[in-house]
Parts: sequence; structure tokens; C-alpha cells
Amino acid sequence: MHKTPTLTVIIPTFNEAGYIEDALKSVAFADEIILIDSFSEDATLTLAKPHVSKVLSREFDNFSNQKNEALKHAKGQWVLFLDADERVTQSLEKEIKETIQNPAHSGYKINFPHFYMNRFLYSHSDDVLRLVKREGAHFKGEVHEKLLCNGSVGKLKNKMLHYTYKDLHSYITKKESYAWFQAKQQYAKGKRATWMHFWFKPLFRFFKSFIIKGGYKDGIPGLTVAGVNAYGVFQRYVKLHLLHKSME
Amino acid sequence: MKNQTKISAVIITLNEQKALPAFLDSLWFADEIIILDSYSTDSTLAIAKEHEKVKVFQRTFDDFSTQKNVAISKATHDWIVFFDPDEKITKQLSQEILSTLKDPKAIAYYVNREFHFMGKQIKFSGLQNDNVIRLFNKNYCAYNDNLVHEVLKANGVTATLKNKLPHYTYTTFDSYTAKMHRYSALKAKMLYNKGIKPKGYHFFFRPWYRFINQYFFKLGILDGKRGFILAYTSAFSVFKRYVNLWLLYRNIK
Repeated sequence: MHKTPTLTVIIPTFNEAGYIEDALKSVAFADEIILIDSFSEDATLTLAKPHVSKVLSREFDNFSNQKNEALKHAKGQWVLFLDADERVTQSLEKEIKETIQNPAHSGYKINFPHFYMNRFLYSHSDDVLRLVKREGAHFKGEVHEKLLCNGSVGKLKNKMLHYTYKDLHSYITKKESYAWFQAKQQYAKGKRATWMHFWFKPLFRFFKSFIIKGGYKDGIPGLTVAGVNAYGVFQRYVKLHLLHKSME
Repeated sequence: MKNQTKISAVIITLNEQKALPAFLDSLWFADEIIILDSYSTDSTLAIAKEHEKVKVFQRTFDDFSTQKNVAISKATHDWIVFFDPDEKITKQLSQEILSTLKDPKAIAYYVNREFHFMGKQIKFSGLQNDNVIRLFNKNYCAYNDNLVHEVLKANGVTATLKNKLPHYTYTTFDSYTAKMHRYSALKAKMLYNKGIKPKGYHFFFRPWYRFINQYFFKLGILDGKRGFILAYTSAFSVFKRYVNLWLLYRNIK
């Protein structure tokens, strides 16, 4: 008789009080849930504790290190990485259970349509590797962390629900603070903000988001994503420029 | 001998602890200082209360026009000077104000502002200077009811003072853009109240036009990277204004 393989869910958190409970409830089927928290200042941990197997607290440096640390503590044969603003639907849960019971690959990508301004933006959906065999799995890359696994990668049919959007203002300010993070990374590498960066990088991001990825099909919300993405790129180079001038 | 005309300096504040001490000192020429604070959470009030000429009032902020009109109503004297804490009242300007008031020929006086951004004076971009009324007789003047970019309406003869007013809006880039975001949200609300609906050209033409206008037509290109940054930021603010308007009509945040 087949013994069901065990599943660990890893959730990185920082001040997610508004989101965390629903995320945890959506993965209650897992054998183990590990929260890796970067010292939240709100009720995240209090709310999470009744639902999780283990809470790790670690000073945030980058996403790769944060998640790799949690991986060290995971006991499941399979690991699913979830963010606090993501939800596993019942059909996705069923598919995950069936898949790890009888796996054809050692990792599976999941599709993320973005819920934005009260609608799903299908033009901005991404396939992201999230479900992997624990053996040999690890993250690489400082800014855009990438999950790697040993062996072939497949794709699940069901989609992950992803609630990134609270309101336009916090969507924009999130990009603005992320721009500091990216600017500091580039500054550390000795990069400078050139005219090329100012002129072409934001413009290119706009066209990539709005035309190539098909944002225009999503109407004003699609246009907003493209506009704000380009603005985020612009902000990154302004902030890199400021860092070189020792200004804020 | 004719008595020197009394002056009330009026200020509205929200968390101004950094700029306030020097700013209050620069108002040495006023006979009283009225501060209308919208519940600062820093030490603004403590600093204000230390100053002998200051009278402090508090009121929840709704919009600039109302807040400023209420502040003016607290003043004892007819002649008002109304500066922002990020403006630098030079010694020459304050002396010009005093000498002007010995024999005023107008009921309101404009001052020419110089705009400073990221540590340097902006010479072009259409932002290099603007004329704002900073000295007026309150019996003839009131702020209009624009939610943002409130304008003081003067019923009578106006004149312009000779000395310039350096304007330091920039502290950090994040606080600069935060201010732009507040403005674009307020402007969207203004358009919504007027029943204006967002149209295609608002999204696809207006922001680009703002950039081209500020950077090329108004020669922002000569302000270097600062000119580019200002043009881009203000184009984005125009874009965001119409997205906000679109959201208002759909009752989405």
C-alpha cells in the first residue's frame, strides 16, 4: 500500500495580520506549516500560532536566504511555498494531494492570475515554481529569488488566488519602497543611474507590460499596472541617483 | 507720527517640528503668530507654545482652503502674512514688508517664489518661479474653495514685492512623491464632484503631454536630471489623478 507523501508549507511573513489567517486556513491540509517571520510588529504571530507547526524569526536580508533558512527546518517530502496574500483553493488542494501521491516531476509551477481593482488580470498571470520535492530544493538570487529543484518541472492545472491589491495608494507606495531595496542592491554593485536608464528602462517596462504581456486587454486596470510598473522602474533609478549623491 | 500697522502672521501646520523653529524666528516682524494645527503627532505644538507671540489652535484638516480661511479668522489684525514653513523669509523681504505697510498702496501683495529641488534651484521646467500672495488685508481677501492649489482671491488692487522667496519643498524623494499622491487624489475628488468622467485621452494623452510640455516646451531639459525627474513625477501624478477618478466612479479604492 502507498503511504501518502508528507507536505510542508513555508510562509514568509512581515506584518501580515490582515491576511495570514485565511492563508493558513487554506493550507490546513498540510502535514507541517512553517512560518518564517522577519519580526512583524503587528498581530501576525499571535494570529498565526494556533495554526502553525513552527515559527522561525529571522532578520530579513533577502528572500532567498529567508526561505532557504525555513527549508532547513522542513520535514515534509514535498514543500509548497506560499505568501500570506495567496490562497490555495479547494480544487488546487485536491490537485496538489493527487500530484504528490503520484508525481511525474520533482517540481510543479502554479499559475497566478492577479486580482486587481476588483477583477482578475489574466494578461498578467505568471507561472511560478512553488511545489517541489524537498531534497535538493533551494533558492538562488538576491532580488528576484528563484526556486530550483533537482529534476524535471511540470505545471499544475488549477490556479492560485493572489490578493496583492489593497488600494491604489498602497500598491504604489509598495513599489516605491521596493525601489529603495533594488536601488541599494545596484548601488552595492557599483552601478550608476545613466540617462539611458532614465529614458529607456521605464518606457520599455511600460511597453512590455501593456503591449507584450497584453495588459491592454485588461482595460484601465491593465494600463494602471503598466504605468505603475514603469514608475517603479523610474523610481529605482532616481533612488540609485540619490544614493550616489548621498541624498534621500 | 503714524503708528506702525500691526501684522498677524498665520500658519497652518501638520508635523512641522523640523522647519518650525527657524521659521518662527523668521517671523520676528509680526505682532502675533496664529498657528492652526491639524493635530500634529510630533513636537510641533511644544515648539509653538514656547514662542511668546504664538497663539495655537487645532482643527481637523479637511481641505487647504477651509483650513486657511479658518486660520485667518483667528487673526486679531487686518494685515496678514501667510507663508508656508518650507519658504524662507529673507531679512530683505521682511524689511520690505514692514516698509510697504507704512503706506500700503494695494490690499494684497504677491511674492515671487524660487523653487528648490534635490538641493538645487530649478531654473526652468515651468516651475522656476510662481507668484503667490503672501501679504494681504484680510477684509478684502479669502481663499477660494479649490480642494488643492487653493488660490487667495483678492478684491481690489494688488502689487508685487521686489524680494524673492526661496521655496524648499524637497526633504526626501519619498515625501515629495507622497505629496504628489495626496494632490492627485484630491484633484480626482475635485473632478468627481464636478461630474467629470475619465475618458481615453485623459489616460493616453494628458500624462504624455504633461511630460513633453514640462521637459521640452518649458525647457526642463536644461535642469538636467532634476528636470527629467520633475517632469516624469508630475506626468505620473496626472496619470494617477485619472486612475483615481476612474476608481471613484466604480467605488473601488
